[in-house]
Amino acid sequence: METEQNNPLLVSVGCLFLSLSATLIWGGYVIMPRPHLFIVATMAAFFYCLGQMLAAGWWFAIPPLKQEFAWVLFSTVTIQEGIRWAMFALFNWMKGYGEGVKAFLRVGAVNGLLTGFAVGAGYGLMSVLLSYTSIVGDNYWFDQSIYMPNCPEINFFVAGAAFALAYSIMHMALGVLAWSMYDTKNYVGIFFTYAWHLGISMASIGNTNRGGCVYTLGIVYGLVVLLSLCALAFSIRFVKMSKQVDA
Amino acid sequence: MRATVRQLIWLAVFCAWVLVSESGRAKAQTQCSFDEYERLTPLEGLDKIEPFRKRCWTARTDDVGVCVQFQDRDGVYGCAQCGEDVLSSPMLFFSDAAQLIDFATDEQATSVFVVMISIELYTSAQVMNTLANNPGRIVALIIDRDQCVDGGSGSSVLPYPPVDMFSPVQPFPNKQFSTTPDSAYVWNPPGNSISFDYFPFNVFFVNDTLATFLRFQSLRFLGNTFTEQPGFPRQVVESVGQMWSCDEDANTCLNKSTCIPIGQQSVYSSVGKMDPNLEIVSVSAQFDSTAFSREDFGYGASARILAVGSVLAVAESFFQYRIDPEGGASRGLVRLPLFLLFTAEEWGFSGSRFFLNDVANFQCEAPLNISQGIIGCRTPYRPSAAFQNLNADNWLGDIDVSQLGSSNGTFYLHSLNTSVNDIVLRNVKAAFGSTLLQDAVQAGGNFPPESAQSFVQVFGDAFSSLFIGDYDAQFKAPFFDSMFDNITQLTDADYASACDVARGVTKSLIQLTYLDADSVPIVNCSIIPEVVRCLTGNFTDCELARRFVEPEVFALITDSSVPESNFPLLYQPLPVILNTEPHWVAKATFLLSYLGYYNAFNQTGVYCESFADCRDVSLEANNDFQNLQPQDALDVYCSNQQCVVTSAWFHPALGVGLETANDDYTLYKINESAPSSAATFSQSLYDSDIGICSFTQDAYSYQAAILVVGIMLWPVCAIPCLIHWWLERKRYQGAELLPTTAPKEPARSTEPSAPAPPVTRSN
Repeated sequence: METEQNNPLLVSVGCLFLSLSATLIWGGYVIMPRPHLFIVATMAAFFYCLGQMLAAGWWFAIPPLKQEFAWVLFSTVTIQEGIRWAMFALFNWMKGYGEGVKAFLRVGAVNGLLTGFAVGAGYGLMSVLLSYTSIVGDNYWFDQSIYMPNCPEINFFVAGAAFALAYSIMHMALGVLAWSMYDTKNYVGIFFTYAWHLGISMASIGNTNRGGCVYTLGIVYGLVVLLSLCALAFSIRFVKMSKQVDA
Repeated sequence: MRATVRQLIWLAVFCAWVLVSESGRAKAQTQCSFDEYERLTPLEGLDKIEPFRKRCWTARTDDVGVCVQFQDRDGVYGCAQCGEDVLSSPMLFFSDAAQLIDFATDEQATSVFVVMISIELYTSAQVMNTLANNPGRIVALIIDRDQCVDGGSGSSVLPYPPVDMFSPVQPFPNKQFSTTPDSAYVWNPPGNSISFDYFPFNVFFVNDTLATFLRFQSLRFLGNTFTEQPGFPRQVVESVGQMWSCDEDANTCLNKSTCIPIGQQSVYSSVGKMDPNLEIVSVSAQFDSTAFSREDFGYGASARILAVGSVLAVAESFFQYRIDPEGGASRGLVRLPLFLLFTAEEWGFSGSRFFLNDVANFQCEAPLNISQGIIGCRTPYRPSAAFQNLNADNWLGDIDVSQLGSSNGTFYLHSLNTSVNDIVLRNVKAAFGSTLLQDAVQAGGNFPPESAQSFVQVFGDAFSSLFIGDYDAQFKAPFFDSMFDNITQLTDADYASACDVARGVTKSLIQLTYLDADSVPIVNCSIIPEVVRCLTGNFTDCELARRFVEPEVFALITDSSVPESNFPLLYQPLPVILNTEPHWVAKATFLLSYLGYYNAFNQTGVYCESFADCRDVSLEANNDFQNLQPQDALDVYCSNQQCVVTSAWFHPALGVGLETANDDYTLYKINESAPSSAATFSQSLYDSDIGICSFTQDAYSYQAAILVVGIMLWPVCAIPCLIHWWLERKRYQGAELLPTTAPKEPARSTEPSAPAPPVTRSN
């Protein structure tokens, strides 16, 4: 009779580690030595939840479009970006309340990048916890050997964890880019960041194609790596330029 | 400016990407089978995952039938998973008999599978016998019990036969318990005896929707071409639940209560009091049936239940004659009409044998407390005592009616006693006429295996035991005792023929009991199809039952789902059943209430909604239960919203080869001194979660690899951090070693300074 060991819990735990790895390691490395960034990241996580709540309400309000993934992604991304900008506006407004707040929020190119990264880390962590760990893990923790008809090649939860990891890295990279764009009021750059976010999110629609999950995963990771390199290059250039300005 | 242009170019590229990904989205292709499943169960959002997670379907509750092990003193039969509660394996599907036989008989192969077969293969005796005799590669057997109707759209509601005839019981059913146990005669030509084979694995019947879903799940990773264990991921089917009486003979399992006697409660009812001084003329039928998966599909619609409808129509018609001022009301009963509805007849004629044995031989050692209104016998336990007034020596004859559903308008009269002096025989022939009822001559003197056998067994060959059915030499029922004998087999012509039989039997009964040869009975034919619907369909919707059974009792007996199958289930004393599984006696209760109402010698007209409203009537009818013999007590209950005084009772139906093993009659054992013609059937108890599960399985190495990758990704992600930390550290170290351009402080000598010369004071 059947003697093959079967322990789907290994997949559950492995996927959890996989999805949270980048956010916790990189976020921890940057944020832990800088306690004020911990608060920033926490606030960002809250704002992310707020944005998701608004997006959910918006999704609920228009029943005919509930299954239109393009619309759902467009509205969700737009709201997330709007919420991040609102957070930046809030921080800016708070800076007017005196040197103490300014000292807490800190100014300067490097601090701006770090703040943007912390915001992205908060977004990324909450993205993984909400979309993967909470909804999926709650329901299917002990039943993780699931393969959907459209993607019989990859375990559904392994694919989900991989996508969650990719999007958490995306949020950190976008945080770095966006915050600097807001700071310098670079509207083209802001739209550019929004388009990156929308483009990477829309790429996931490829999952609805039969067998699309494999190449979609490749495309998303390719774009996320590209975005991360762009963010890194931009950060280095931004710091150099601000030092030249200071000089 | 250049930076802005660069940014715009990147922007354009990714806007294009967004458009491309949206327009490039293709409609997901779906297989029609999965489409079918989705159509039946529309799902949204995360619910779409539901069909692909581990799912289980329990027998009895989820439209899954199961074959259960049963045994008697001679052997063990049926289906049993033994040794393990759960067995799992990938599933193979077969629709070709030769392939399946090759698979099962391949002695070189070691891989085992859950096997699904089509309904056509199930009806092949060769296939089923091969599986029973070669079980080594089979973990469990799943039978897709439907064939595609409606152009392949999926499950029909009731099993639909793929062949012209099929019967899983013996060619001579109940032969061992008949008057000719050594006969080679074939009564049931399609009979292949697979119900009496032993399958050492679970056998499930699933509807086509579930079967299609399981096939889709199994085929989506690999085609159905593998003969060895498939790779991973793979779909695995679990067979859950084992029989409790595995590896136990009948006596052992009865002793350990891992099996319980097959049986239930028969119903008997006389018109008026059971007067021992009156000659008895009885009309009998059986209301049980069986099938390979007998708890689920033993409908017996055309072979058994149609006759029950006919007998109930007789009761109602006889009542109409009885109250007719120009009929029975102006005459007196000269003989006692007795209605007998037996159950457990498929199991060695247990109901009729047990009842008639009691009529002939029963002695109550300790009656129940009649003065408290409790009727029956305590030792040996019987729920009623009225049968003791039935005098075997005063029994004129019995008209047994069964198998009415395959006539072409003509029925056959079987009788061992063909003497022209046989009063019952003469009257029946006269009542029916030669067109409707013909002598069964082609059976060559063989008496059919029906309840009529029990009268001969108990009362002797001279007893006038008549059987009326639709066959002469051999059964005509094409699906005798099979899942296909359901209500879909019956046509309006069948109901009309059954009504003709009811008319003939009623006239016979009137002639015999009122000596009125000129009666023209009026039969309410609409009762017959209604009874068939009630007893083979959703009993809760039975209007007849709601009308004749008082509301409180109806609620009690329908507290759980009443099985559509007419398998008698398991015998326990009536008070125990009413306390634990009242729905098991739901149909018997309906039959008792119906007969009791129409056979009542006093429909009092007192309005009632429950027995509580009839308590005074009961006390008055039974003389306050003072100075009353138990067998003389009358039954009073609320039926059709009035209190009726009647004689309608339950009587145990179980194998006469069994005897009680404890004082409360809940344990039984085989009576070793009972003859081989005494039935000893019992059925195994089984795990309540018996059924099947289906889930996807990854390789264990894959599962472990995911865990390792997940854990290892953390140090991998830490590498850039470590590199950054190392670079920063180097930068700060380098910064400390670089010379500065600011003026230095004078170098301090490291030599210890010479003491200062003493300062001399000058004036």
